[in-house]
Amino acid sequence: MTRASRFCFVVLITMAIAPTARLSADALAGAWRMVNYQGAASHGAATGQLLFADGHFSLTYTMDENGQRWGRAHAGSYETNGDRLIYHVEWSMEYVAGKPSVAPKPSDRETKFALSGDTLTVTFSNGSVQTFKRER
Amino acid sequence: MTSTNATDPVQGAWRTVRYVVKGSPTDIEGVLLLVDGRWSTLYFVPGADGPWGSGEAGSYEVDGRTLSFHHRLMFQGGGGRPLHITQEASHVEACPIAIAGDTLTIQFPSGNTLVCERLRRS
Repeated sequence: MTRASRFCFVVLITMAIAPTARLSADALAGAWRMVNYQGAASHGAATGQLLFADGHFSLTYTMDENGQRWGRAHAGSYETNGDRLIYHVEWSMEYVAGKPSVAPKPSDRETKFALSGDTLTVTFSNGSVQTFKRER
Repeated sequence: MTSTNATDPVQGAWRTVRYVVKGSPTDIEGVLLLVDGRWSTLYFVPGADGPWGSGEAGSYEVDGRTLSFHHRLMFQGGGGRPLHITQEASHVEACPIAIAGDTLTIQFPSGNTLVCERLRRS
């Protein structure tokens, strides 16, 4: 392979990959309803809403555990890279197991996501899995 | 899913910057997202006993210059106020809105005003 043909090969590969990466981020854009939450950070049956718009997200949900209702809300910006979804959390509040926390708490949370039709699955590093259905 | 939509001019991401109660403005920090007929907000209001926060979600519709919020989920607490969590909110707020450039002004039925600025994908 000559230097010129190698350059063309790299350019073509880059052009082929770039729209795919962008498509992944755009594929998340919209409204999602939480239908399941399993894992260490889960506290009972969860329902809520996850929105992605213009590079920003908002996730708000409640969990019902032994007659008590807990809540979490997070918001900020996000990005995707392949199957990785990175939440750049700017604001966060939660009231879980009787412990309230209300404050801006900037942090990055790297997850893996999978899209299958109208189902979005987000897996956190602690093994927790959130499942969403697309709202139309 | 773009920030400019002729039939839904509010669709996108907005930073909540100011809440005006009876002419008295308070700086607030948070976001308001509106997309595909669903809305969600998370904002913080500073206070002597720490920030008070509110996470809310539901559906919405736009009719001309009126934005109607259909409330469903409300999660509020902090700042010395009691916790309030519900998934059963059902009230509707029909709010006149004004959009000037990247600024969205929402007039709530209570008489209070929320001022937001559009957030762009970075």
